[in-house]
Amino acid sequence: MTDAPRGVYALRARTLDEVAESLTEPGAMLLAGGQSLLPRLRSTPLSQGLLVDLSGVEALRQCTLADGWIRLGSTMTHSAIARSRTILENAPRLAAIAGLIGDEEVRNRGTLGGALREPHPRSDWAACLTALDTTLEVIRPGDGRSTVPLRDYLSNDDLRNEVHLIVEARLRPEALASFHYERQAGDAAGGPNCSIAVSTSYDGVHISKCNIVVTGAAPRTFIATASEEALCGTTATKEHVDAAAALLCDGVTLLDDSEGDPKYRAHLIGSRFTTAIRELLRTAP
Amino acid sequence: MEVTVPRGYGGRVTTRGSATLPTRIHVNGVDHRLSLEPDRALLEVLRDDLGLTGSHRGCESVACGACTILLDGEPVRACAVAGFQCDGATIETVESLRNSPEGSLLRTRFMDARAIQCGFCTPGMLMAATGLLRRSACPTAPQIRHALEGHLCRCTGYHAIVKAIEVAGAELATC
Amino acid sequence: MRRVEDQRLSTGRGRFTADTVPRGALYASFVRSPHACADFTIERQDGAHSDFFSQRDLDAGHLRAIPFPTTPSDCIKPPRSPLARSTARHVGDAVAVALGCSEREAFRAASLVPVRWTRLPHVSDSILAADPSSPLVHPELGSNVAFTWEARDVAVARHFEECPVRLRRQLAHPRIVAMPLEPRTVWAAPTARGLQVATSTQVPHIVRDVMAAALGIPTSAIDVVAGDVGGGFGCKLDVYPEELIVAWLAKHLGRPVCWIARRTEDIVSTSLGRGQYGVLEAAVSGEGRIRALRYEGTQDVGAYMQLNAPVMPMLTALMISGCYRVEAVDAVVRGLYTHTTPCGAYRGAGRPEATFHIETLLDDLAAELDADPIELRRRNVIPADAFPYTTPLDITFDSGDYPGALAELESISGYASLREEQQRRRARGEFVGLGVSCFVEMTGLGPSRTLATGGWTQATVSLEADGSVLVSCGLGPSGQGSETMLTLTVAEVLQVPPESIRVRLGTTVGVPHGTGTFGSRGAAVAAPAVFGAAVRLVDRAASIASSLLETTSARLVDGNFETSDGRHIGWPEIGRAAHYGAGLPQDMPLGCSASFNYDPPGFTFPHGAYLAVVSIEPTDGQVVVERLFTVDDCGNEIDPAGVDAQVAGALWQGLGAVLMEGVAFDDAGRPTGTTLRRCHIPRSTLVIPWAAHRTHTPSPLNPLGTKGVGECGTIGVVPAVFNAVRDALRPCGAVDVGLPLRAHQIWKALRSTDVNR
Repeated sequence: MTDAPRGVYALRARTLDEVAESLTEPGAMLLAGGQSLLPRLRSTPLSQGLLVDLSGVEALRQCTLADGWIRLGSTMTHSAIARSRTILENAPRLAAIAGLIGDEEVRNRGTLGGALREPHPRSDWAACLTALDTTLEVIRPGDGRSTVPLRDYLSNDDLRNEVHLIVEARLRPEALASFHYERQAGDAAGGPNCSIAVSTSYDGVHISKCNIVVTGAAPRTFIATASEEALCGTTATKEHVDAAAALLCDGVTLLDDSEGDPKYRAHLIGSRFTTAIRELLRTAP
Repeated sequence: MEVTVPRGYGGRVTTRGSATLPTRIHVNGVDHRLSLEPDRALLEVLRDDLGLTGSHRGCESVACGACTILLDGEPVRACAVAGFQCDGATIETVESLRNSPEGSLLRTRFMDARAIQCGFCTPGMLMAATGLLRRSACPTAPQIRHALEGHLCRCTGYHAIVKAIEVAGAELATC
Repeated sequence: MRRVEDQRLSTGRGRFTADTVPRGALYASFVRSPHACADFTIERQDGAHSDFFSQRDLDAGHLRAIPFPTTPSDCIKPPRSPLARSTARHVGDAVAVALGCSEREAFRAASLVPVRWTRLPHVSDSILAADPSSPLVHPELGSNVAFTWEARDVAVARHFEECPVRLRRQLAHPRIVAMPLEPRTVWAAPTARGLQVATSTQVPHIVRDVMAAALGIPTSAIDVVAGDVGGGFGCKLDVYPEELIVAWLAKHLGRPVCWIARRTEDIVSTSLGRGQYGVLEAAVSGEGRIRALRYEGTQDVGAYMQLNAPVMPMLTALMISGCYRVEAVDAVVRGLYTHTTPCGAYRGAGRPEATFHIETLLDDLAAELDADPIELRRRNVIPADAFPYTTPLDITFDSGDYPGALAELESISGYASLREEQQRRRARGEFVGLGVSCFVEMTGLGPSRTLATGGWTQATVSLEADGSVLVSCGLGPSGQGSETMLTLTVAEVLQVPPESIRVRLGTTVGVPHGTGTFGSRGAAVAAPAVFGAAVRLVDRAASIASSLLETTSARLVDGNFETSDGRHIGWPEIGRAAHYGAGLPQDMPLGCSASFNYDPPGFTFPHGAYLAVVSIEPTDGQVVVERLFTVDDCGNEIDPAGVDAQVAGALWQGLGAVLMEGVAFDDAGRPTGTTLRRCHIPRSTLVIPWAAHRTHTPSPLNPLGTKGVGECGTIGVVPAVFNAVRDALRPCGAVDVGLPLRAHQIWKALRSTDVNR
């Protein structure tokens, strides 16, 4: 008995250009931390493909603060973000979020880019970075670099369904000053359960902008756009907040499983939203 | 490069990359030069190629921690690391614990505390604990439990394991 | 003392079955049904080399059915082929096996086997399965009833007529995944004599015997080694089709074959525990004395009857009266086939279900009579001077002190002040509850007359040529520390250091007789056997010593055999002399070993009393177990640290069962939660302050006074926490909750009462 012929190849990329060129190869799959890809390969073994190893591309691992932007390289591990001097000095709350992701082993190996790339229903980064108005820089096959707001990336299935490289995530450190993440650790150390990330622009009277992102409640992390619109421009009284809360899960099919039915999840999201807003208003600069 | 078109493949064939990659890994103090297929996890390489069967496979969803080893000093799950990505890396598995002060102390404290029952989760627990004690002096029980969040044990209820690590951590800190 | 096992387990040198796979082994991968019930066909391309086998191939190779030597004969069980023939009956039912040079290749080959499925109607619920309109799992049987067992007593009816207080409760215990960390693994290799088999099992001898019958070869031609087993908890107390198929493949192909279960596969193909629905009725006197009980239980057997299916509900019925002095018990239990993974033993195997029913009923009774739950139990328990006590169902409890356990529990928990504290917190609007369970459990399985496989254990202790000692016994441990426990037993009798003792368990090699580890029989059955053998060995060694010292009466003193005038000889010299025969009389046989066959005269009955303090977070229904107090009594303890460890592990599995575990089936009959991530079991972050205490009421049944304890924690904690949660909810009337006590269920229960306010 012999094994079937295999068409699985790999290359160790060293530069961004190498990665960009490999994107047009048939069967190309980017491999960074492997926390999503490796288990998938075990469940669905490959018979052909090209694994492009990103772990040797220094340019993707950098963390910088320049021109008022924090730039996080997509192959930074969650641990690296949690321990980065640059982050701890300029955006410590980001480091705190990184320290909650998954478990110790996942944090040491899993990457920011990998976490954003996976349409995982429970994603601390997807929720928090979207609420923080994060922009992604990506390279698509045959294209140069382009930027896409994470907000749009979350639901852009066309982009997500083709192979592409996330180069980095950029955000303004000031965004963290008016940001709150109301998080519940899920049972299975697999990520947050019915958690909500909120950021607002509040001048003491009016809310001029707000981002509301929910994770761990639906098949995808989602943006509560109806609630955002309802709260924007208001003075955030109890009535305004309740009205916005009522719209949180509008148009979204919530998960129905052993951890709860949609009604329960909606309740959790609503009460966490109220807590988050209260915290934000209380600590508004 | 000769390329065989596998059964069921649609047509275009990649011209890049290699079917096996030369990989140098330093495991438990010994250098190995291996030629690895891309989709073999480090766990398979350790167990099947190097005969280091101390790291165990308990799941396929990156959830149980029985395969945890130290990769460049950090606890990671060997089942979720591609072997070929470890070129130049230093790997420590449970078989090498005797060689490190934290490791040998943890071993004895695990035994003292009866922190081992069936032993299947033990290697992962010991490696995670070794990584923890190298990074944190004297971790508290809550810190230890947080560090072990990715490790399942069905036999012990975790108390004895946490206790053993706490005791070892305190001892190391006073030396 | 450090455990003997830990030297190897702490250095990664354990010998789990996947660690010892012979070089050049082929790997097997099973094709499994994704449907709860489906007819299937497998196309065979003519002339194509096929690397898979279906049941047709096994039939041609004479592996037609799994021999069932041990299931009670009045069970209705159709013959079961190792692979399904043309109908798959549960998600995970194996229909073909593929081979490859590596695990990955075998898995890929399995994914390419051309199976065509035709879904059929299914039934996943045992109560529904009893309904005549439900689909039949085995149509040829005409019904889904697999067995009925009853112990009827017409006197019960009279009590129900006469007693002023009558309660009726129905509770379900969901199916539980045992989830040992080591998935099922087996390899088999042909040898000159027959087959060498390594398998992660609790019952190597039963595997050997069933395998021999299935393959048509002598039992002496098969060696079965369990090696180190990474947890069993009852689910490895079965002989599985995969084991037989792998053995057959090795024999048929003439090469080693190995199968390592994937976790998702293990979850759907390994026996599920529990799955019993019960209705318990009590007839109670005006003073709160339970006079009679009536129990009706329904066991979900799953799609096929495995070794233990009828045993669990029978044990539930037999133990339904718990610690209490009851005059009459009427019980009927039955098993129903469903299109689900077969059921099997799981830590407690029938006794947790019994304790769950009777202990929750006691708390309900206390609420009804406005009595204190501990006080009500004290009124009803079998008094300390009533032992040996025979229950209405003819089970004889060897010894126990239930009032003592309750008193100890009250004392260590500060019960009175806990109740006061509860009142204060309730006044502040908090949901705080106290829950008690007082339990007795049946261990030391068991007298041979009660067990189809026999309950005896034979042990052999032999002195080697170098003076070391080899202990052989037919146990099949999976983490309990049996080697250590038996080392201690022998060390004490022989007066030798533990390091000179080697214990051989979990194998048929050199241990021709055995039944395995189950029913907490290590300390209560195997240890007395080993003790008996050690005592005989001392006699044997003494006669050799006497001969060598030319005396009539050498005695063992401080590790040496001495004459009355002070001359002595040690174990090593005796070992050497016995092995080589130098200096021994012609007619004295060579060697120095002794065997002892211990058939326990009865079951042993450890007991305990637990108290849980819980609070409920009203915003999300989360149950917080704030404190746990446990009093356990397992008689004499050979290895107290080992008992601590068993109690802790059992407790945490019980907490998992009451707080978070339970398999549910969706509309298509598929189990929800088939990955380790989705099957929630307790993690290190479940922190509960816990005070563990013990009392000691030895068993009069064996010379060691031991009772076994491995399953007690699982049995006692479930009703304690359940009662505490219902106590917390009682003021608002939301007591209609079931297992597991997940937050969303509690929240819903709370809300349903809010609506009524």
